[in-house]
Amino acid sequence: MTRLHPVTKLALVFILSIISLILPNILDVIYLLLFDFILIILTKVPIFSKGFRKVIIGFLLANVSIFIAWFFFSQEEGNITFFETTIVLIRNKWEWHILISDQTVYKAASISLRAITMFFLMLFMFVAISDRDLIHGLRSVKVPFAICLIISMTFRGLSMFQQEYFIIKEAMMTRGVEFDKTSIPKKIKNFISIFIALIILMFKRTEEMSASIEARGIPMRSKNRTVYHYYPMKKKDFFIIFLLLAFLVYSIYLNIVKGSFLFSIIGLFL
Amino acid sequence: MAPIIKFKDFSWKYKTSKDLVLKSINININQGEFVGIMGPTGAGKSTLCSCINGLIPLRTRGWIRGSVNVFGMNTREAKMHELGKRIGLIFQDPESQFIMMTVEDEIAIGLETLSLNRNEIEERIEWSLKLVGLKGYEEKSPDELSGGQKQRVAIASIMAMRPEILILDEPTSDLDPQGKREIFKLLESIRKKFDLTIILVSHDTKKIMQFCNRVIIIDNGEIKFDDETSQLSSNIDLLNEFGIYYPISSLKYQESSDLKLEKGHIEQKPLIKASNLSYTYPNQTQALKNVNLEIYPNDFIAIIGKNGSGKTTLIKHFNGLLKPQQGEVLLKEETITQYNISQIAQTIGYCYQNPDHQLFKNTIREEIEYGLRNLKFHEHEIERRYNQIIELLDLKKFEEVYESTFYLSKGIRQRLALASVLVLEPDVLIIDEPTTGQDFRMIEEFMKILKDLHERGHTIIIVTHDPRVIAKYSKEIVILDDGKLIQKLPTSEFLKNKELQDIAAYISP
Amino acid sequence: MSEMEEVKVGVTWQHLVATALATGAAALLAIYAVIIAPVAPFPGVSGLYLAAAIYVPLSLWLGLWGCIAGYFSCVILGFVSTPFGAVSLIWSLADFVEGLIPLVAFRLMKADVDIGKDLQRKKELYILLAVLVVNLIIASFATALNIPILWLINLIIAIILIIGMYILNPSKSWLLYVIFGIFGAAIGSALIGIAVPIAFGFGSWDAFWVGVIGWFAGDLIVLSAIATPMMVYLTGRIKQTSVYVENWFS
Repeated sequence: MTRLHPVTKLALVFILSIISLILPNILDVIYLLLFDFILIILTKVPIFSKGFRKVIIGFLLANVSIFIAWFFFSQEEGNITFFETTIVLIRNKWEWHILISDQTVYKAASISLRAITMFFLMLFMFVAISDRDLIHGLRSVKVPFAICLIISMTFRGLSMFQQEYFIIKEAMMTRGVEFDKTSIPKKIKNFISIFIALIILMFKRTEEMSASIEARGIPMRSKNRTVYHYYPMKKKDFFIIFLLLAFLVYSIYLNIVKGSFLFSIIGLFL
Repeated sequence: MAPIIKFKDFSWKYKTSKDLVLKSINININQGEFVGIMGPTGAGKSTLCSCINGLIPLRTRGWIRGSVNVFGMNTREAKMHELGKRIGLIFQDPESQFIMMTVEDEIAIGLETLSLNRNEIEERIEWSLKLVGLKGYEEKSPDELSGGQKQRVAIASIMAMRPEILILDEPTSDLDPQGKREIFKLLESIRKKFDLTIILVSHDTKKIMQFCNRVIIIDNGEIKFDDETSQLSSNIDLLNEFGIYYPISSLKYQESSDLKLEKGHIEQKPLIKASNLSYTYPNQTQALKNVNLEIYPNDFIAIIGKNGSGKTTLIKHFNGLLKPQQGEVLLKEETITQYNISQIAQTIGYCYQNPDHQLFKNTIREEIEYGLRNLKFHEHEIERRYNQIIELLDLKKFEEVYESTFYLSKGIRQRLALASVLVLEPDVLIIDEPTTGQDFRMIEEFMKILKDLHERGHTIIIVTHDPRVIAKYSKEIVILDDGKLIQKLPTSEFLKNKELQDIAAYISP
Repeated sequence: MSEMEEVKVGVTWQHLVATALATGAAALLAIYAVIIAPVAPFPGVSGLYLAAAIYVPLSLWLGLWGCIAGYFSCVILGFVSTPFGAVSLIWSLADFVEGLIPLVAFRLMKADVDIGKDLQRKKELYILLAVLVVNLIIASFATALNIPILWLINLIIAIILIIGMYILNPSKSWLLYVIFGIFGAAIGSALIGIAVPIAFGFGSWDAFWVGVIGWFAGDLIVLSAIATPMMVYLTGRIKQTSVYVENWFS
């Protein structure tokens, strides 16, 4: 997996994400999810480590809100009604009516599975593609240098501002600000102070870093710029991208005819 | 021989500045010269540097008169990338110069624009890293490097491009003395090897006099002095006029200081006591190893040591920002973990190296009152303390003139940061590198304030590399090296001990 | 200054670096905002989307680069903190539009973005602004519940409040900011921000108006309570920097 070109890995993640959204049959999505897990295992994503566990739990909790949105704010009638009630009725014109049917559950579960599929693809991407490889990969396929440098500096900015965030937070603690044992309105107020300090720092850093780029005579556009780290795309990369695009086109077709990828493959052999 | 840099009646005003920043500058610099540029903060030194490599006016909005010619090209008509290939500019802050994610990429990015092939780029990367003593650091990210190492990478990335002119704008102000010494040694060897023209902006008079053959003093946008270095060193009055310090020996500083440790801490209980203190960061770096230290009321201590020796880690234990992993820290004979944030804030005040990290409010008043309001002081007490502090630190005139703290100069922001901490009336003041990037006059003003506070009974702890501060102001020195406390001793004894000075990377002013 | 010649500069690395760093800073703030106020009436959307406060100022300070930074920071947030995945690429248009609406208004009307300059009767203005926000939230309920009379009353009150603000502080900038920087930005981003996830199945169209009201109300509060003081305090300072964009791109 690591010998694939970074752009191929990126294409894998994005095309499969789109496919997970457009495949009409939920079974196909489940198989896609299984494929996700194979990718996770192959790239040895440490999903049981403390950091990743936190991220996964956070994501699953966010996923619960999909069910909340469907259960409390939809009116999908189905064959079986599990729960139905009216919470609020205003002037016989507007009501908040809750209806949980098999269709509600199906739709919520369906989108939730797709979201989980996309999430694990993202996890794979974060582990399998380092930010450096991504930049070099994009440059190797002639993505404009300015765009690549912006992406690189975004990563640099994320790590730089994270450090600054904690320094500023510490500085506020030395002035008696409590961050942990405090109410949400207070937390928001404290957050705004950090916000303002970070914005000022951001503008300063912009001036300094751009001066550093200019001072090295780096033009935005240049015909003869060498790409030092050159990762050529290999035959297997092109092949995989071709397969992905074919799968995407077929998924669009299945979405139109409301077919199933799995069953159509089985049908081919029978 | 025609000069390679020629300023002809050049004036510049930024779009947002009220007055001219450079006024009718006329300078000729020849090939191979090593020129030092000095002057107070805000004099126009950095602006002058930016005019040579074309940042001004090619990339900066403003108003211009006159001309700057470099290599016979008028900078107004030249292309930025053409100038950048031949003129290297290194800035003060090593953090902001690092734009890529690894050392190798940082050096390669400039070389790629020279249309060299990959082998040549690889050779130059290897060569430049060897030049700055960082061979083997190719894969390191900026987070893994010290300030000195980042600055050396900056030099490597410029030198790899083989410039003909090298401009360094206060390249060592963020470095420890050892780091400074290494950079200057490197510059000297580079200059000899490659016959470069070097322009160096620095407040370090000693280094300027040691390395430069010509000095330009600029003040308020005008050239006040432009002559051989030897002419400057004999003109003490001129140095004094522009607030440029003249290097004297440490011992002479000590003699001029009235902060002598006259008697020991007999029958006094320590204010802060660290016992067997050890700390390891999550990345497995052991920053403190079994440190034992006592700080007494009304001490004036300088904590010194090389970069990475554990100074900041130690002081963060004193104000509770870090909790001891082994050992303990006592504050007024109670374990520091027993105190809450607000109690510590009123006992230990901490000023950061960069005042921008601790200024959050729009006006001077709001900033000073910020801590008091967090701690829920009564209005009349807030007003009383505010009036007291603003008087003590002479900030009233700035409050009247400047609507917002954002318009204050760095020196005044630093004073404001001190005020915002001092208003909580802490017993102990910890100041982290108060002199970085400041000119001599501002340093003296700031240290005078600290000295007054000490005389009023505050305990002062300074983390510093500045030998002038160490020699003139501190009563005692605490030396850290590789996480261990080497020794705590009176300053006067330290200044006579060469061995300890070497351990602490102390270099006489 | 008659002897001196003005130097103007087009798009430079500063603008691209500003976009990159603004994206990084905004993304970080957005992620921390979701952690601080994790109320989620809608999947992944923080009940008090604090980072929304930065998108309008960024666009007014950095022009279209600010809008682009807002878009990409939301993409990062979408990938990291929501279940939307690739849908974030379209969902984030909500934050692009949030910055774009006031930017277009200010540029077309050639107004000064420094709303804090010569600001008069600040306290009274903020009170009127708070009342306007409450009024607009009620108006959004009136829209969702289809009560035209209530909607009309709110509209009249809103017009009176805006006229009142103009009388207190006769400033084109302030007026444009309130109408487009607060109301316009909030409604534009709410409509897209809720429609996109629903269109992809993350909720039902029955929940559309509930979602829009929630997003709209949250943005109104955040834009008036956080973005407004930021604009008032920081714009003057930002305009002093060379990074500030006067037009669309430079």
